[in-house]
Amino acid sequence: MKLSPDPKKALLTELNKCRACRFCVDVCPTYQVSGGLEALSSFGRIQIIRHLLTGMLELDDSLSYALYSCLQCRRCENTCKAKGQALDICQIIQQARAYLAPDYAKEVADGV
Amino acid sequence: MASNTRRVISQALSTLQRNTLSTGDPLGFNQVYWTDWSQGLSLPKDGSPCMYTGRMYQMLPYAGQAAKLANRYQGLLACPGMSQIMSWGNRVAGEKTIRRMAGTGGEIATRAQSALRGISAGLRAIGLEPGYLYDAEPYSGVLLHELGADPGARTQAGRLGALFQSKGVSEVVAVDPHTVHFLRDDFPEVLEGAGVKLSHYLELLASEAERLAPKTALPMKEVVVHDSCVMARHLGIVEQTRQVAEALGLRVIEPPNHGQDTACCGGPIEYGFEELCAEVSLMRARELAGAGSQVMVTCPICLLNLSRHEREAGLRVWDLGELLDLALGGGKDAA
Ligand code: SF4
Ligand code: SF4
Repeated sequence: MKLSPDPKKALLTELNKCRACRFCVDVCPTYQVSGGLEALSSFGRIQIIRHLLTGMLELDDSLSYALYSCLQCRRCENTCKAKGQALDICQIIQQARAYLAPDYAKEVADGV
Repeated sequence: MASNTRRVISQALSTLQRNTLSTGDPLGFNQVYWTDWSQGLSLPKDGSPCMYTGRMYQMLPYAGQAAKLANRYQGLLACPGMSQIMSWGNRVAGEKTIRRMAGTGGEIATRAQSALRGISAGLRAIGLEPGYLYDAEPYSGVLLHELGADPGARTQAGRLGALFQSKGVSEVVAVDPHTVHFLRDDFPEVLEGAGVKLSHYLELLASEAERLAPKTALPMKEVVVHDSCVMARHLGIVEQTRQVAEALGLRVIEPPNHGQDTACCGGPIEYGFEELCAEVSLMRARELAGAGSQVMVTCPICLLNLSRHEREAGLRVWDLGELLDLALGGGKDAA
């Protein structure tokens, strides 16, 4: 996924490649140690980002936990690639952090 | 899940950003602590390639304590106004507290310093004369990027490029995979623009591995190799790790999930999710222990996180740099 002047569009384009096969879920370490919480898996994070981008969800504490607890380890990407889709899952999550939560670095400084 | 995650992340990011941009150090420390490892090595400031540590190994004893501090105060951080005074950096709960908690740095500091000495010794063993910018060397900003704070990360990376340019540095060898990935793949224009060529030390050592003849026998004959996620999947450095280990006389044991399929040490989320991080690293430590008791890593974050479970999992975790230090005599002879 190339960095884009329109990150929302670029993110949605990349997200739309996901065919919801869920092969990536089982290899995600945070999913494994959470006892199977899908929100803490690669596929779960992708769905959360999709709904945040379309306005179905708002970034609260638990969704922030899902977004920021990704290890950026790329294990899910290996599986996605092996199954023929090859989504840039880590970059989606990193770019979603940058696009959806740019105020996080400012909130404390501003005394929010 | 924490009920105050937004605030914890805001706190972590704003402190990281403020500290990195104002002092060049993510912890905001004023006292120089990142050059201690180089004492006695007489590394020239204008040697080539220039070793860039990015302060990653040196931060280990403090980073662990800073994360503990941040996690300990999560409840307090939820109170309006408290977050402003409970930062990890140079404020109320800052440098003094973290230093006191870290003591003199303990075993992890010794290991980290040994790893850096070993890497410089390895570079000398293959005929290079590595340089070092000492206290002029800043942190890269990589964690800011990983957390999505790209404007701050870009600013810090730009400063680094300008620094190399001003010092006339044309070749840089970095010692950890996160820094290499950040500078090579995330902001490639920074070093390219400054006319600087970047390598990871394993790329250089592997190309001349036959010259790494050990002077001292290592305390083990075989090691279980834990590949770092960034090293294997982002940088594609897998074989080079094995070539260097074998050049030191070690037999490599492959654990379940190795190479491109490696499993994470848990470290990248330590800044705010201590419990989840510990669960991931323990899961990996147990998996490695099933293959052997002597584990070799090549990333400071893996070293910190897996070594925490040594007793529980029955392991000894070694950074490859430490093994180079032992085998090649710390490079002091060559200095
Ligand atoms: S493996 Fe790829 S395509 Fe399948 S659910 Fe995961 S991200 Fe989507
Ligand atoms: S990169 Fe994130 S989502 Fe993918 S496997 Fe690792 S922790 Fe899970």
